[in-house]
Amino acid sequence: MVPIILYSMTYSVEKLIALANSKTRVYVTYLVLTSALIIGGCSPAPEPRTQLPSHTNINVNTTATQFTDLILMFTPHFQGLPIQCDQSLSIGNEQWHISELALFFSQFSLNNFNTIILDDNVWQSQQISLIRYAADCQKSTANMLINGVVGSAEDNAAKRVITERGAKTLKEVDGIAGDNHNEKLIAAIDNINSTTPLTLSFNVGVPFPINHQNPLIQASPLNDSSMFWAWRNGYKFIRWDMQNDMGDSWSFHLGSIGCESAAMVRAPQKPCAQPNLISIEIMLSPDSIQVVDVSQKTGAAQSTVGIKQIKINISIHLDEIIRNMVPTRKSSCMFSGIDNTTCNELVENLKLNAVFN
Amino acid sequence: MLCLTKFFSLLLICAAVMVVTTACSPQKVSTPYKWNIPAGFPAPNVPVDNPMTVEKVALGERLFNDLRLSINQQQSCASCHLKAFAFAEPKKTSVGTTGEVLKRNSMALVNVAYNGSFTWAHDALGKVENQILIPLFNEAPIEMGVTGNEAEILARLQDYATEIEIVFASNEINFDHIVKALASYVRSLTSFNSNFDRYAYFNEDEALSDSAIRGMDLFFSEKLECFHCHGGFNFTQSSKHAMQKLDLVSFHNTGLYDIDGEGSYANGDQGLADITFNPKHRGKFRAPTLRNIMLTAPFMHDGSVATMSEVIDIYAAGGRGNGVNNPLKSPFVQGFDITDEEKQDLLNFLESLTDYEFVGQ
Repeated sequence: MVPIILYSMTYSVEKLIALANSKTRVYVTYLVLTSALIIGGCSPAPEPRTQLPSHTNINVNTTATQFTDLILMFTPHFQGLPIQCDQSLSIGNEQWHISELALFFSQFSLNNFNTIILDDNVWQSQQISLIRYAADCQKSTANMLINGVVGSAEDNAAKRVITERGAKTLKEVDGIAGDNHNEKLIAAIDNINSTTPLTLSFNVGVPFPINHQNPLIQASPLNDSSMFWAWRNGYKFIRWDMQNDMGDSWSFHLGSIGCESAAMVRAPQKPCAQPNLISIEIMLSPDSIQVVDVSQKTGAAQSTVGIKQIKINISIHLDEIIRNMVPTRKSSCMFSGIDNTTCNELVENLKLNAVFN
Repeated sequence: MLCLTKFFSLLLICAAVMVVTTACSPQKVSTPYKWNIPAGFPAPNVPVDNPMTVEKVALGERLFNDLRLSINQQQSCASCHLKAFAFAEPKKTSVGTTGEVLKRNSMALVNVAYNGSFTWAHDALGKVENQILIPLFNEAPIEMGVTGNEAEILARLQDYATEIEIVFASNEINFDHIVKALASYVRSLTSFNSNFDRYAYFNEDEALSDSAIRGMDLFFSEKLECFHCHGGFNFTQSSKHAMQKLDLVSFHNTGLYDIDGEGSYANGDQGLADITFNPKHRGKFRAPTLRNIMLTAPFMHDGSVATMSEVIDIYAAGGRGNGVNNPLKSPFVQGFDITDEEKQDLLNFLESLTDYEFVGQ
């Protein structure tokens, strides 16, 4: 706000100077400028923040443009059925209530060669996404969606322009919209119901270079302190906390451990002893995928931006994470120490690749 | 004529700009911090993104003592790090602001700027800023209880806006600024004004008693081996500074426990092994500085040794109880014979490491 005031006042001053033919007007000028400086000059300069790539830097061929929009929708399941936000889990003879269920995901791709570029939003930054279950039915603190495009950063930028300004304005920003040449993928999407199934790959967790940044200055969701793992100098990749009616509790906090800091004032440089990034690959069943053509007409040229939107439903089978385990305070895993043996079982369960489908 | 008027107008505008800028004073004031360390001692390493300034240290001191930083406004950093006890706490283990009991003894904050590692047993924190996140954000157990309550806590701290603006050129009150200021204050807590320092570095012969000098000789002897782990000008192997960039992080199993014959410690606290998951690191803890050590009882990571006299007895016995035979015990903890008089000499030497000016006495 202040810079705008300053700018407009300076502009007025220039006009005044141009017109100045008497001392009075000049003094008015000083007064206006001085006021502006007092307002603007004493205010703090905002700290620089990470900027998204500028729209105007995008320079993509507008002819034959098309890209593939992607929405991944996660639903927690228990014993084969989706769970509702206020639903308790019946385990053994106890009713367990989820108080926290959140997971960081990264490095998405389709069919192992089509990178998925995530949008930047409050739940996604630096190509990392946070999924958080609405344990208390508060939708504002929950997110079960991941948004992105299949392709390149340019595709993602094109999508952002269309989202923010509409396809019809594309022509105004120097040729926009991604150019997805990946015919193999397009063919695969077109034939979802008939031929080769799609596979979706991703990691549970935060990649090493990002895991050890200063969490206090990261964009959301990486500034979410409930996912800080300060004593491990990183993030929790999974946080699942439950309580039962008998006063017992159970927690599973997964993250990288044994990350030795090679030098003072530097984040760890070499891989952690146990990175605990869990690699997931899902063969998508046709009925979990929905493809919609949402192509849009552009501006005056009336060319078409071909947009295919793929919606993929992914189930998180919570019972598969605790397979062969009875949740109690004692069987919790927060990687609290070398003797926290239940962690191994939980990590092995995650690696069985039965948790997500 | 009109041109001349315009020229003078612009000149006057320039002058006005200068006057106004000066009148507002610079938004950021960064008076370089002068370390309170004697000439000849190395300067500590400081992260490039958090340079020391006089203003930042002052801000950090206020925050360090501010109860409003904890969720229920019951504790500040100073609640567990009390100046009179060299910023340690005369309690076996600390208790968080909501009453949750921690498993470790509060560490003294003495020459922390030189630390090669932080907390009792951690090899991955790297800098004070990372350590400070633990008491602020930890949830198991809760210490200050900031997690999830950031907005509420920051809203209480609006009176810091001007100070934060002066220090950081931004009046945004956030935890990054808070942590950087706290870290700067903690780094400023240097202590080099003990009787030992006067004797050793300033040639004041009368600064140490004959008994303390005998104790010093014992301390540095191969018989007692103390200096192997508590060596250097800071009396800890775990030091880094401008002249010492090598990684000499040092953690030791001193034979306090051996609950399973395989080196495990008691109370589910395996020290460095809980961080590295390396079984050879069971029971390894950082050798703390011995500067001001006599102010920091009780001793050891779990506060399980009440007095320094008992500490010496444990080292003389080569450990405590079953811990004597701990297979992972440091080779320097072999035990030694010590007479009552020698023990008193050693205690007098350790007492001479107390810097009363540092604790405001």
